[in-house]
Amino acid sequence: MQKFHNHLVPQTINQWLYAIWLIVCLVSVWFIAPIYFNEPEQIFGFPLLYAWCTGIGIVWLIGCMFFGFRIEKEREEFKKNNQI
Amino acid sequence: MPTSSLLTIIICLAYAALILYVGTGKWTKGGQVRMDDFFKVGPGFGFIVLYLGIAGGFHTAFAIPGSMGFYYTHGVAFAANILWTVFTPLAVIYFIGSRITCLGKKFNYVTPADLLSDYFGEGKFKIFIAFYILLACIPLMSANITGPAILLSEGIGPEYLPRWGALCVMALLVMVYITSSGMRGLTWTTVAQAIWMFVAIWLAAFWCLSLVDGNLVDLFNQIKDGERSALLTLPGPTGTRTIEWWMTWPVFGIALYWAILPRGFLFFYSARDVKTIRKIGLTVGIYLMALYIPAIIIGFATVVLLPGILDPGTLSGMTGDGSFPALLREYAPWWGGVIIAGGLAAGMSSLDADINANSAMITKDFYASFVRKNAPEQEYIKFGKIVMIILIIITVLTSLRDWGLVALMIGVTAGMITQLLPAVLAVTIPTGLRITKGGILTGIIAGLLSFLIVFLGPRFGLISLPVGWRFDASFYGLIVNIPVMLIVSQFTETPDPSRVARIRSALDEEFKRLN
Repeated sequence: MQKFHNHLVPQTINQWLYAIWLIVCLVSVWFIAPIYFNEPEQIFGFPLLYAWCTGIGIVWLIGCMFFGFRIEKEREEFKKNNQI
Repeated sequence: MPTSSLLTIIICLAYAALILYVGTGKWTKGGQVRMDDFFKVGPGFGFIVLYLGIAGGFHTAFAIPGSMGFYYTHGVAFAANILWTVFTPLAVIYFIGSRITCLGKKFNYVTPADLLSDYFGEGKFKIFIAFYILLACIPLMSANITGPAILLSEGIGPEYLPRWGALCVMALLVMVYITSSGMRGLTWTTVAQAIWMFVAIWLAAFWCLSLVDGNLVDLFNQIKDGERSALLTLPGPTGTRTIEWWMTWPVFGIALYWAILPRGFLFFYSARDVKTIRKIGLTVGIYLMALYIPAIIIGFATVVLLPGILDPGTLSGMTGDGSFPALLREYAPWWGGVIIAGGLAAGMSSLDADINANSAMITKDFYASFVRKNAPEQEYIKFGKIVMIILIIITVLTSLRDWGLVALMIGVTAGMITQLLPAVLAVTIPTGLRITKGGILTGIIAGLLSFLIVFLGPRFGLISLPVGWRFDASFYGLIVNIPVMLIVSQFTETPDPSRVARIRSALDEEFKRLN
């Protein structure tokens, strides 16, 4: 079997946090939303399901952007320190 | 001709002039006459241009008028869009797109088949992949021209501009700038189109809100107390947007295939570097999601204002596409042309990218690989431009046919492209699994057959899935594809180890361990 590196396995704290945030928010929209938030209620005039999904979407983006840019910073520092 | 139609024509002409100016200006001319600087941008675009290029290029006619039509027909089920507008950038573009960019820049790929055949082997495999993708994309191109053409025709008045005329206007516009400057031209026009459609959809939402007295709570209550209160929950008035649907269609029917459409590959190859694509993956969800946020207001306002234009008992996903054009016909403000041009922008921004990508595949994977090897680059570009014109004509001709058939075929597009996912993952994400060309081909064919049985079977009365098992057909295709691929791979020849080592080494170099 050929030697390989699977770069998708998180290696740093920020990569772990990115992956966890990605999965938690995915589960919140993919599985939790249609089961627990499928009611004809309104939040500021928007249906509950829509409000939940859009709200999670915003939180999802902010969190992943935060961790993602920290990963970029780490990557830059790594390249600088290792003169790549 | 009424003043409103005249104003719509003037605004749409202004939009057309802007697009032609942006799409053919000196900034769209590359330094070299080469395939790899015509179908893609060799030196690569920076963050801002590519950000808006991808943002606009990813949104199709499904954004305008499709999304509001979906809310009109099926209600809140469209909230599932978060599963592609946010998940696709943060997962598929960030992880897979960046790896496609890495390999594309390193080995100067032009088409999706370049990447797959470089790993699995050239020859018939390459041409199979190229024609498979081309076949999958024709319905998508038809959809991207048909929806906006209906909007344009309805906005001006079908008596002044029939649907076929609107189709020809859009086709001509795309033909001019795409044959003039290829990927550069289409990306710059997509930047302008992305901005225009964003402004248009938000303007449309505020206009719709003003039509229902500006109060969201009242709008909600009118729906809740009306005949179509089922719009506020799953499974919607048609009963088809079930939990099984939610858990499979947005992810397997859209999110996983959206970024690996050929146009996605061309955008990834046209990035300046891998970091640019990673940054786009992290941030482009803001645009993608924000574009759909106001669609619910437009869709629900149309339900209140035009409750009777469609029979709730017989609605299907695509017939709702006519709801927003109908609203514009009844209530359009004097600036309604801005919204209509936004619809044109949504369709054209992905139509041109698809035409370019498909022309690149026919030119590079077929003509340059099998018909005229080592011909001058000018000849390839000339051939590519002729293919672009032919593809546009085919798109217009197929769009003149029954819209229901086109809509059906879009589902087939999604199912076909999704079956390529295991192959793309095998190349871009190194694992210890044995995956061979034979396995990939068998998996694609088995997955496609399973998809077609589940997708078309119920429509033609051949099979009926029991309640609780009505998952999206692309999902069924993929769960057959993957095990078949893995099993057949155990008994077929592995890819050339030197090719595999070269590609993995390129990935290692870019995605080194950080600790």
